[in-house]
Amino acid sequence: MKARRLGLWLQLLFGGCLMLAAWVLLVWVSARPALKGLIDLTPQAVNSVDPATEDLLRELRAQRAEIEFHLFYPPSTGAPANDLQAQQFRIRDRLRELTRLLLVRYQYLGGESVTIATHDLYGDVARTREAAAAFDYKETESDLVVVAVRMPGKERRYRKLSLLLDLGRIEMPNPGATHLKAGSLPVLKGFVGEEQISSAIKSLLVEGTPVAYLLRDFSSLLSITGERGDSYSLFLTSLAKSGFEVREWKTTAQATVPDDAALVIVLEPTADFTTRTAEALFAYVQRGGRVFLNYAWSPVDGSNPDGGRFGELLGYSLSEQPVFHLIRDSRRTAGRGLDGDMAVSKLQMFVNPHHPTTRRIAEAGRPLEVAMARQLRERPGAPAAVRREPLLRTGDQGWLALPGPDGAPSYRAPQLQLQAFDVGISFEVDVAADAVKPNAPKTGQVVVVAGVFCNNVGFQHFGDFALNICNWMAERRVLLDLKSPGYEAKYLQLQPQQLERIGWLLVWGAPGVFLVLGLGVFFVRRRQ
Amino acid sequence: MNGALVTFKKELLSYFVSPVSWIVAILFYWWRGFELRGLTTYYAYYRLDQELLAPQTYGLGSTFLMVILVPGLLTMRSFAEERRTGSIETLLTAPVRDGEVILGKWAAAAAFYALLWLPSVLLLHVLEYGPFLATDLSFGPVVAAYVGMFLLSGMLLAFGCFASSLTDNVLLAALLTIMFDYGLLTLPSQIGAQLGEWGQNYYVRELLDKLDVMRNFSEWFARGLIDTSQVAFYVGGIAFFLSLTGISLASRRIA
Repeated sequence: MKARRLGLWLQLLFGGCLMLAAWVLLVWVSARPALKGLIDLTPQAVNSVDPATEDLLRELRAQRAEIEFHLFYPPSTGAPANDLQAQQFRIRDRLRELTRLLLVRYQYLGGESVTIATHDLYGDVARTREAAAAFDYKETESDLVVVAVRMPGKERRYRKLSLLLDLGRIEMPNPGATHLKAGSLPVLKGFVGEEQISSAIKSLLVEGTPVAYLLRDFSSLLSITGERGDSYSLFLTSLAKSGFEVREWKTTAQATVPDDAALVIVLEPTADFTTRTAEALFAYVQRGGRVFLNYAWSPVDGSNPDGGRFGELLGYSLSEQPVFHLIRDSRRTAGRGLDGDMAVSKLQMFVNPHHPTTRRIAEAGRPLEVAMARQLRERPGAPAAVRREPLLRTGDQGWLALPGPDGAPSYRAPQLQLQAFDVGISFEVDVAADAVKPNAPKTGQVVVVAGVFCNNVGFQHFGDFALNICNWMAERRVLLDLKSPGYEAKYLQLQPQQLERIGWLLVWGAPGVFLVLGLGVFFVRRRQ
Repeated sequence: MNGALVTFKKELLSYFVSPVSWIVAILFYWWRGFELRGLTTYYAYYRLDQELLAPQTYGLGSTFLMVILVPGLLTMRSFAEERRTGSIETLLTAPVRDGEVILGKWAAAAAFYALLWLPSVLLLHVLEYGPFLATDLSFGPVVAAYVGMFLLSGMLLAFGCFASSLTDNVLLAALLTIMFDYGLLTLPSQIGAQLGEWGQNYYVRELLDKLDVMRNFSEWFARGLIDTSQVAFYVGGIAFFLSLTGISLASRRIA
């Protein structure tokens, strides 16, 4: 009898162990990368990372890369002195939280290849000092996120990102505010953590520093400094931030394209290249060189080159007049759009869904707009050896502007002859077989965009397209990306009466309902 | 399964007619009301992101009260009371299987717990209307948080059933459950912090991540994200503790 009972007890014990094992197995199997799934119920999936980031992390995991995130968050000391400081602390805490949550998503996707270390300056001092020395962290740098990547068999490379300056978009209070009310406090307007961190990871994967040469000799109106809307300072700064070295090519000092050029950039030329420069550029392309040429329409007479000799060699020419397009009428889904307004000069582009520089933009259905564009057309007798691929095309309600009564282009559309125009073309030229060098490109590439989209105004919205072009040309395909929509905050605006009503509902309304229901049940039970 | 259904109905009714249930509900919503009013004012005054308001209601003190205390209070009588009054013998010899009884009692507790939470979601919906916030709150995270809360409390209720089956002292059963709940909610993060370098090991990290239910809740479910591996963890946990309850009842039969 005793043995039977012992047997039964053992049976129960075994059953318990078996259930525990089944639980562990279930959790282990469900946590396998191939089996685990994530359901995002947030509006517009704001808590999910961009598919480009997912691809990147998956790829790095497959390559057994090690991605480290080191968070240096100095502890807060003392209570805030005033509302302003308290709000700054709140913003910093919120940014810390958003960053941590984002990194947890990275860890979820990257699995064992991703580690996150938070360095507490008042905690594990030895470890923190070691990390600070390794990443050259100084306390004056305040809150910092270090992104480090080590590819198998290679040195660890890292990049530092400031929590407040790089990852957050903070709206500062009106400097004229004399007293601190809620409206005059700084506000966290957005979080661009994913964009910044993913870009940092990607830039760390790219070896070397490609040199981009800017050719300004034929762009008499070009501004590359200052914060004016028509300047290109943002584009050039972003190029440098993405790991390019930007230098200037002076054709007066050097007739040929410098040997170390990864690409040549020409922005808003107002005159055609001289024959010598055009032939030097084409010769560079024929050796596998890369040229990004961005034309624009200028109201100044004689400032709209048609492509000249370089155009002849590649087989393109530009219209003298700008291209305009009817404004889509949101109230009408079909039929003719609107005209007579300056907005006809802002063209919504149809982008090539197959080209590496525009593929992600097309996939995301993101709008791309160029202004002051000109038609890019094939020149009669274009060389057959040059392959052309349209990149940007207008809708089919475009027209070449005609001068109005004041001589400026009229915003009125003609009644007939509306059509689509190409304003961006990619050209490809084969490198001569005897000139191909080992590990060197086998084709030369030229991207011509005949409209403004990457000056300071345009860059904020469409800058990723300009960077995509440069990264693609510099063979940094891993950097081809789409600017993620990021996190945009919305705020509650309440009147005192609303707050009063909310208080009444929450504090008295809801518990009151339970009280009444409970008493009802009590009296019903008593009657029974 | 008929036995489970009968037990479920009987137990659910007993929850509804128990004054303790109503007192818990009234106190919970009264406290939550104060907290939610303070939270709304805070968000409006400091212009914080309204998308976070609804998920953040799951980080209030009243939520912790509901998670730590209420599962123990709901399940303490499940089997301990039956043992104390001796009706457990009748139950064990009745023509229903142990599994059906356990499932019925657990399902009733889980259903009552879910119903106790439901008004918190409805309240947020009411708040969206014109006289109150007059804005759209994001309900995706609320739904995910509700699912997460149900799964987490389902596991805690399953443990409560198990604890109740171990003793004939109702208070001891409640205390055991509360201690377990508190430990589960607080210990994994503390252990993780103490492990240092060890904690960075992928497998240790994964284990601690799964056990750190509070973090899972606040960082995933309350953010509108449902990770299927976490769902598997909770479902497995419910099955495990319910099977332990079955073993506990079976051991009584042997004894």
